[in-house]
Amino acid sequence: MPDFHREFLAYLLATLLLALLFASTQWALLVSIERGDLQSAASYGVKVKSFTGAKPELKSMDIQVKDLILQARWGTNLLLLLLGFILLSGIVRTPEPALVTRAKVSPSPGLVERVLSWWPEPNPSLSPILLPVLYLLTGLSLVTLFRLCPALVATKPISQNAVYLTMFQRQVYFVLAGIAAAALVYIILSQPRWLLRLKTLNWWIPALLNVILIVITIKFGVTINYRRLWIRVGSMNVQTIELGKIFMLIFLVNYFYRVRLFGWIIGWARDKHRRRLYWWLKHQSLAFVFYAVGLFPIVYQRDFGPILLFAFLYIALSYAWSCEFWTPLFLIVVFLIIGVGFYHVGWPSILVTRVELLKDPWSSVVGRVDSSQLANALWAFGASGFDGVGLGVGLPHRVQGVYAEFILAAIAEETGIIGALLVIGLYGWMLYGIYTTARNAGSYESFLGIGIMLMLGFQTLIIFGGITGTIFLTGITIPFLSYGGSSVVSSFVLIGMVLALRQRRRG
Amino acid sequence: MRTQFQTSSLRLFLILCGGLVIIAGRLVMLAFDAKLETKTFEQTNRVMRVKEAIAKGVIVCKRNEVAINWSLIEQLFPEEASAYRKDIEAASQAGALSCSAKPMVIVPPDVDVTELPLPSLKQELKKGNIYLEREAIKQKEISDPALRNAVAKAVTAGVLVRGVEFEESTFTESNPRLRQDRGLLYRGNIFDRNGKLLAETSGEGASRVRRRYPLSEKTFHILGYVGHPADPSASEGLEAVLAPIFRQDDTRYEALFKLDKGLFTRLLSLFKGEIVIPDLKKPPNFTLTIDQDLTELAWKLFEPYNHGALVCLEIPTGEVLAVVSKPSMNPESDMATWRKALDDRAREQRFLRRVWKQRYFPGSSFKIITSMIALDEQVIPNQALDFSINLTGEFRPCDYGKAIKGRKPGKLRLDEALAISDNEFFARLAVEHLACPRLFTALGSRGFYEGFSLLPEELRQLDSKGYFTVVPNQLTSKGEQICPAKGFDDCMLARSGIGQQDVQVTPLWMAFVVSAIANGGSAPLPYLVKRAVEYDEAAQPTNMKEYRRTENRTLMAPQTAAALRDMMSLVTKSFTRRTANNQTYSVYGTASRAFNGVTYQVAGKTGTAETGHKTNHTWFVCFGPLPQPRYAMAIVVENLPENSAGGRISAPIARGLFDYLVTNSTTEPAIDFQTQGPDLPTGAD
Repeated sequence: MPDFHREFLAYLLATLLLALLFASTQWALLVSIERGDLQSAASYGVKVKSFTGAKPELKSMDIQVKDLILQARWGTNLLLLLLGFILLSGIVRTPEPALVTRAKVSPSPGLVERVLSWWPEPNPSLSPILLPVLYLLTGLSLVTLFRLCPALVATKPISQNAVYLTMFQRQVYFVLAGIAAAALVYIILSQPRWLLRLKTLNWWIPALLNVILIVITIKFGVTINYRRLWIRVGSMNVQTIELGKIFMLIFLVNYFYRVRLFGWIIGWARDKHRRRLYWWLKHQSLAFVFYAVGLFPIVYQRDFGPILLFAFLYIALSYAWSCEFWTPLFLIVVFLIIGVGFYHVGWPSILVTRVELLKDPWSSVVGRVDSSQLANALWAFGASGFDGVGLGVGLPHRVQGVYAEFILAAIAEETGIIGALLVIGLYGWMLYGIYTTARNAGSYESFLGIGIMLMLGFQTLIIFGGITGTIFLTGITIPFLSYGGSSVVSSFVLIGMVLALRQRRRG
Repeated sequence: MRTQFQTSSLRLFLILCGGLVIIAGRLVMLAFDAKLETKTFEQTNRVMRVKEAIAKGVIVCKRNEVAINWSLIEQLFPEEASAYRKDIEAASQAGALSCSAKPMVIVPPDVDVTELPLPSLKQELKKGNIYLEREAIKQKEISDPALRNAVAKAVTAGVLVRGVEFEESTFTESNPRLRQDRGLLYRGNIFDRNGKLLAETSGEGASRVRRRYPLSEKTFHILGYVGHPADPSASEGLEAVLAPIFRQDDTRYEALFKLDKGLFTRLLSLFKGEIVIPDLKKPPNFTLTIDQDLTELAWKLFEPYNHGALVCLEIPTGEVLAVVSKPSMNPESDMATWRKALDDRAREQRFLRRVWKQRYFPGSSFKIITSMIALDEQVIPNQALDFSINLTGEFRPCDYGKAIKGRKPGKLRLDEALAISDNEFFARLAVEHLACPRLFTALGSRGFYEGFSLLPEELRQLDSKGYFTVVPNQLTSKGEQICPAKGFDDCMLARSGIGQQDVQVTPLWMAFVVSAIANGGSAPLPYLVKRAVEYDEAAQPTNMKEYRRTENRTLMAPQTAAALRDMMSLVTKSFTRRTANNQTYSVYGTASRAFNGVTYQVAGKTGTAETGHKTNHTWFVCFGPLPQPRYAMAIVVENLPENSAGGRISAPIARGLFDYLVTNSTTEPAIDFQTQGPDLPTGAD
């Protein structure tokens, strides 16, 4: 079966599933809102004209919620999402038009031909399953937000619920913006010279950019929940670490790629048994210092999710670089010592809090947050069972921040272990898609691709481990699943890079 | 190089997959962990904040009441003032803060404690050498003179003060799913004893469905509420207790939401814009022991007063007929009113179920209990009502404080002393006849320090928050422990004997005591829920459960009860007696004016408790109509001006109720459990 057909079939199935879930969710919500009224009607055996007739009365909270559901128009939004993904697939799959070829050979191309000469040729190494899987993941995120929004609106006081009212709609726009960003990144990186620029970019430039970005955030950022991780751009708060994450990735990938080539050329492998530490010091210590300096402002921000992510990434990339176990083992020991040291010093306090929370999620610990967040999430997971309590019936909205990091708790509670494992499986599939794409690409490209796979994978693992109480809880977004513009767009930028990973044209 | 990298990247991918598999395993483990559901979350953080506030003197005990120094919070914890305020407020609302019987060391911010030997003070506290007596801190057996000085200094500096006890379990969070409420759909109606509606779910048109309470604020403390505009998922009172029962049948309802069931119907109904819910079961209805008309009348009579409590019991059955607890709250209020009420929760105490959750000083109404113990323990032999004590007009059992004043010097009989409520008589009775531990041990053996639930056995487990648990009465210093040695002197005993200072009781308990007196020494414990009716799918009643108290609790011997009944019947009368010299004299019972000219006879006791804030609580406890009393009442009106007395404030309310009860009680037989069929309320739907 050609890739194109497989992709089409996958989109079709995913759309069907999503439509079913959306319809179920809406049905559940409408019933739960209308149910009081339906009692009398049902006892008479009468069918109720439910929501189409009543004139809204703004005083009543129910009606506000109902309006929201009617306004949300999931059908339109699902189509919009599908359209976005199909366009992206189309851009990736469509061969270059004849004009482009002509532009490339023509000595004096016109404007249209100039613009079209950017059209990338299709990427044969791209996994056909990657985009449909992402479509299903973002769709699941939207279904869950669609279900959560009214519940969150209903439980929070009016003054605080403005953000929940529009959460679903905003996430749709975020995803569309993300798709556009991915398309842009794909088109740019498909140009060999831009890829070359990225490949030859000095590793300290993104490292420095990351530091500057974080320092700017610390200086001019917006404080939410005692932490200053956002910068206000227009009417939106942008979480800068999401951009910094990409910088950090490019820094590490470029550095390790360079060093690896270098090391290969001068043949360190020959005497690696004698001079391992020497080599490490010579080639990695500088990067490590840069890396540590880059992390320091994030430590200051008390944002431990990214730090853990970068630590994992550093270790994994150093392994990918050296293909032997000693360097990563050494690094693991170093990181552990640093981590345990910080924990024993008791600074920053949030680290201690989180570790204590992992040790005993059933009591709050000394610190600023007295949060039953994890306990609530565990209750939600515990309520899930095999097929869940049913969409719209559970109480996932009792988990604080369920729309962001804890969105898996909502999915698990209402669709059960089936839904949760579907999500886990989709992540595995997505990683596989990135892996196969990277494997088939050129040497730098495959290194970058593995870096992206590691970043998305570790990010998923860290947060899923955190919310299920497997490792300590750190605030980091779930790529494609949790609510938030910065996270969605930055994840799509990474995917845009993956789309552009190809075997270099020979000759 | 290429192959090496391919190996390492494959390994890395597999590591990630391994991580995902671990997460999946963990999810499966969590999903099928049966223990998870019932675990609770302890908010140790909040507990520590409140403890810190106590240690730093933010929460102190003043005049037997917990006082919170709000301004000090900002000063002490400038960064987290709001968190501290929130937690302390929550603790005080939950009733978790109370004055303890022990002194403790606190460190106020403006006091220099460097000179005070705090550790050794704490040691002495532990040994019990520094103790609390009449709210004053005393010391004994401290040999070191420097330490003695330090104690005095610490007391004057406010470092050694009466302690505050904090019940930590207040800040425990449990799984919200255990008390999840499906909303109004499955809530049955609640009726009063005569089948009149107390709560129903009704409404026309989409989204206007509301839980309606015809008596609005009058039944608030019993029924509670289900959802208010600020938090639709909150509930309290009987509505919260019954939620799991209303939930029992909604598994079918839940099944409608699952992915695998009714999918086609669901899609079809969405397509048509109609919602079809298959046959639903009618939820069970409940009948309370409350009498709606009597409750309305009681509230009307209570109208002039802003704070207070009233409870009316049916003596033979123990059914609670009417409850007044003011101030109250209309559960159907709009958002603004609710917000205000929730904000003022601590100050206004609208949510406090005064009848069984608030302890009051009983004042003179406690004299019936003093007499009860004296008669029942044979301190007064053979239940002789002519037992008399020589009075001097003033009683000074110890060498400090005010003397207890009597009406006049001379000999006074027991029954007359109760009728005119003579303080000196009962103070002497407590001190001179009932020696110290006796009063308290006798009270203990009669269940004075025990709480009980107003709900039947089946419903009691559902009341996890204890909305209907009667708080135990209190002696601020528990007699039998503290009596002989540790400074519980005669002064305290004398004041306890007349219901001041150390004794605190709930109105419900007092009503229960008088109903036991009326019922010959024992009575069933009061209860609230009369019956439940379940329905099948055709809305036909299938099952009816009667909740009844079958056992009586014995408080005293029948002879004691008879004697007390005779004594208490004098309180509402004015009568003449002859002395031994054949001189006549008149005795005016303290409630005689209120019951002037009634055609029936009521026995009771007035009470006026000094709160220490220049205000009085006025009490009236009574039963009637004699000779076969059917109703018992306890009425407390709070915070009246100092010259108010029970006979003038509370007793007229009782009279108003008895006027109604006597004229209307002929319609229903007193106790007729056997012949009374299942009177299913008509118009219940």
